[in-house]
Amino acid sequence: MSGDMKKPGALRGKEYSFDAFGNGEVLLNKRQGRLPAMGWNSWNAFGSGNTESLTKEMADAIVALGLDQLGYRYVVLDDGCYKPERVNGELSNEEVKFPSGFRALADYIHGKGLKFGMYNDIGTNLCAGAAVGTCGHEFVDAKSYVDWTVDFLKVDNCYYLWDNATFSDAENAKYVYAPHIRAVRVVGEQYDETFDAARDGILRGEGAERVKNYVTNIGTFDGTGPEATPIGVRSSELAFLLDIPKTGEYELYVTYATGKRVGVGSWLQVAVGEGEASRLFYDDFVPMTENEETFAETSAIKIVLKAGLNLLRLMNHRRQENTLNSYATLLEGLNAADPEHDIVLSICEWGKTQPHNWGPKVGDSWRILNDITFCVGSDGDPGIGNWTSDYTTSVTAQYNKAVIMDRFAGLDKGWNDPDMLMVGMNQMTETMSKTHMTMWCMMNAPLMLGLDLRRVKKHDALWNIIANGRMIALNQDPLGVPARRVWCSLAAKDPDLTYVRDIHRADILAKPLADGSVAVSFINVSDRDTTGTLSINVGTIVDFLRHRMANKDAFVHAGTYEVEDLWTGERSTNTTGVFEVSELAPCDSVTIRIRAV
Amino acid sequence: MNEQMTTGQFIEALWKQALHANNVDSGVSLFSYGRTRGWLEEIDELEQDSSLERRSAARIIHQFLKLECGERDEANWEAAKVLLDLYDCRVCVNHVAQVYVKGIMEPAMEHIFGMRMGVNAAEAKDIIARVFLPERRRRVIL
Repeated sequence: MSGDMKKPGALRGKEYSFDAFGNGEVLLNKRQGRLPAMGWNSWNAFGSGNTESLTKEMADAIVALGLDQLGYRYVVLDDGCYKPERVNGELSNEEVKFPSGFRALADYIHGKGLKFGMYNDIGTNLCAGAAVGTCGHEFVDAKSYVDWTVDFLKVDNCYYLWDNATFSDAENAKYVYAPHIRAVRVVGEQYDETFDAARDGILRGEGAERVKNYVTNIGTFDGTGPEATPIGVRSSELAFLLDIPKTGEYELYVTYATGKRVGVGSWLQVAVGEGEASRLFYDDFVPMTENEETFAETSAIKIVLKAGLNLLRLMNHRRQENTLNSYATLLEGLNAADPEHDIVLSICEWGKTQPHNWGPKVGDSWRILNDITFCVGSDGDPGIGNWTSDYTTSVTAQYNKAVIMDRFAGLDKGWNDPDMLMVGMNQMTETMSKTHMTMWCMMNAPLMLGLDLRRVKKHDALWNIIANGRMIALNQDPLGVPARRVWCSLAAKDPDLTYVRDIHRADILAKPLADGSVAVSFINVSDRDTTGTLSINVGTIVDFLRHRMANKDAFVHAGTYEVEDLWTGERSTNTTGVFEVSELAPCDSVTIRIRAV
Repeated sequence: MNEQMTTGQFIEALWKQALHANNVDSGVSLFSYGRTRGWLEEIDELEQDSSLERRSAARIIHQFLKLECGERDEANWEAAKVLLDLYDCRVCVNHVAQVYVKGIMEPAMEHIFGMRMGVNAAEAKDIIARVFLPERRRRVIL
């Protein structure tokens, strides 16, 4: 795909298409079975100002603080480490900040028993501007990463050619939305029918709408911002149910008008049938029309229909498919460079293309939203982290979305990534930081520290949070099942699926563990109110977790439970099967591990 | 005064004012010094003859204030959310928000910062003056 850089190329196979997203299969031998990555990433701590010297100090600190023994292994260079242009077609180090080069730094980090991570982008440039994105250079860059012994690669989505991503041409929306569609005509032997899109069409999924006498907004939701739920079909199609007299080849004519903006594009896909049994007959631009309101008819599109009912689908799933293909090309390059080289691929397209649908095929984790903070630090300035915000830039904005996404994650898939930890940033109180760590551990989020570790001392308040082995054990539990929200004060029904953005609430999460025990977190999400008594019983926990539990029967039928508070270490015995906490302060939480006795 | 500034011209003008204001050693190589201090990037040197974009001006000024002048960020940048294009540039958000709320750079149009628009000589002069003369800033804090 993306051969000539003028338009996205043909999909390389049906297994890369929207209709294969749900088949549970990975592509290109993506490794499965990894637990969430743990480590340190330079961005929140130092932004583009990270240097070789600072990175070495962070690696030293990870070891000195014993964080490596707790699982923090990856030391990841984020944006700002490359020269702004390629040198002889290859990536190279920014010489003022990283004078010794990446291989030398990798050797230093490996010498500490740690792993080395780097950053790039599927677009032409990195987000901070350097014109060294992997687009069109995937195989060359993959070889560099293997030569540099890179163990982890975070890959961004700025300046992407085939979508209207950050810094991309806004008119790239033409690739990822279908045109306005007013009618379709299907012609075959003894058959000639015209269908009015607004009247006869079936709007599938979410987003498409009838406007005047046509259907518009056929494409995929942009999930970069926090507005929309990740649950359900996040894209739309226009479909027609055709009752066909005879199996054979037919001609399809589509009446359409093109555009180049969000909601109306110029790329059309035509399929018959659905799921893996579907067949794609058209997947390309249609000729541009004079404007969005001037309609034209396509030339004949050959389709094959069978006698009886057929589902004809007009759609554009290229937002997801293009992005999947770009990450897949990079994975293909890494495989080609050295199939034995183990590298974690961290997808960072900010939730834009609903990556939880396709990310498991090629990636080990996928960001679910735009950044958790825009106020990153620098040497001497910890930056700012917020508990709440009206955009993605807060603990709760990320948590609100991630907490209902547990179904998309697992050992056979990969992990939802609500971005790096903000523990240690200004405005993050100790209570907020403790609950932030709790949320990320319970949700099986990657645990990437984002603070200047020189500010941490063993057994100080920051260390006690990031080095809580009991909490980390939840995140790294070999069962690999993220917590499910089993109760929410603002969602009486379906707390595990309901997207709640109002933070003035309490949540209860439950997470099954490999030894048959269950971790339960009581979380006061509000930064204003104290909770009353929060309570959950064994029956409710089991109702939500069921087959995901390692030993459901033993848990259900136990008369006695040993309860361990994972922040205080306090142990108690429970014989009621009802677990309660009272009067949680704003932003506070309690997490217990419940073992059947 | 309406000609567009190049990145190099802007940085030189900023530096000239810094020499004047802070009595910095004028013998040092500007780009080398700025990169070592962290307020310039290699791309600034490489593209010194290209037209300066407003997002780059915001980055350079914000980093200069922080790393050269020791000026802390404004913790409250809520007021910058009036800029409709604030989140269009995720790595620029804080730079833009800070120069906006500190009253150093104004929106190019009503509620539009204009990330990729240019900076003319008159604007550059005003921006640089506000860096060194806090009384010239028009702070926007909610």
